[in-house]
Amino acid sequence: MADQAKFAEQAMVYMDQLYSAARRMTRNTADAEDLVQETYLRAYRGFGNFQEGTNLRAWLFRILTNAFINSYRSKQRKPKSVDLAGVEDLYLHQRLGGDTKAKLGASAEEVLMETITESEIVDALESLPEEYRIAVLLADVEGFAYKEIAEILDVPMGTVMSRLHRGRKTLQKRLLEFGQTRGWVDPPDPDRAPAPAGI
Amino acid sequence: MGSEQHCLGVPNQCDLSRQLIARALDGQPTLESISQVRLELANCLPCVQILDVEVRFKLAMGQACRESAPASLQIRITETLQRVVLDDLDIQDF
Repeated sequence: MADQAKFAEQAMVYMDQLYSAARRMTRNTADAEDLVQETYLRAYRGFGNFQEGTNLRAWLFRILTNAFINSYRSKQRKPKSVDLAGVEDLYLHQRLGGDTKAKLGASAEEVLMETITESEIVDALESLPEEYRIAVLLADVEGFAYKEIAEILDVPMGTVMSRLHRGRKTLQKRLLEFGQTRGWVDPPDPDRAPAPAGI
Repeated sequence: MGSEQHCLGVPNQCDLSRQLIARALDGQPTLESISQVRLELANCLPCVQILDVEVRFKLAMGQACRESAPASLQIRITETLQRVVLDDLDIQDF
């Protein structure tokens, strides 16, 4: 059991990470601040049950995620609609082949990745449906392992992998759309048959 | 191992390449872990390209989406926790 008197000393160092995640979950500053505060209060109250030596960061993120799901999402604005159709067969390097490669040179992906702005990446993430957004956030922003994400979300590993796959592909689709507006990426070929699901 | 052995000409459409790329993206990849997966993907250039894009994308996500908590929030939470601790002490005194 953890000593409640040591809570602040051990838990406060994670505030920036929790706040970043809360910003992406709630999509606004005021709700994010309230969510982080609620997380710390819940964590303090429950710290006596925390097993010392286990993963405090993952435990805090579990509380954050549960607090968001139970308290905040009902009042959240709906994200801009995002089309999940056709994401399974999307592989960026394949779509950046042919004429696009010729236009941009050999490292087309690199140019695209370097040119997209951080705010466009944030917008793309925030446009994802909640379950995909949280999975991608925990994996790619916070760097949690798949097993940890399964524990944080209390879902099977297979569900985590599935949400990550679709979430990542949808983000890449948004990135491609960004490239299309700049004429770097050819529009999708309607005659191209979809490939089976990937990772 | 070549693409003909595990991809049958369709990159990233076999269990092995999917598993390897997923493994490379698990947690916080290091140069060493990515290099290891690149080696295991061996001669399948499209699979290696997919891996590189996925890793680059993951890194870009991490960089773009991090921000610091405002100092006012840190103060607010610290004060709130101190108040809760004091309230708990008061309750125990009774």
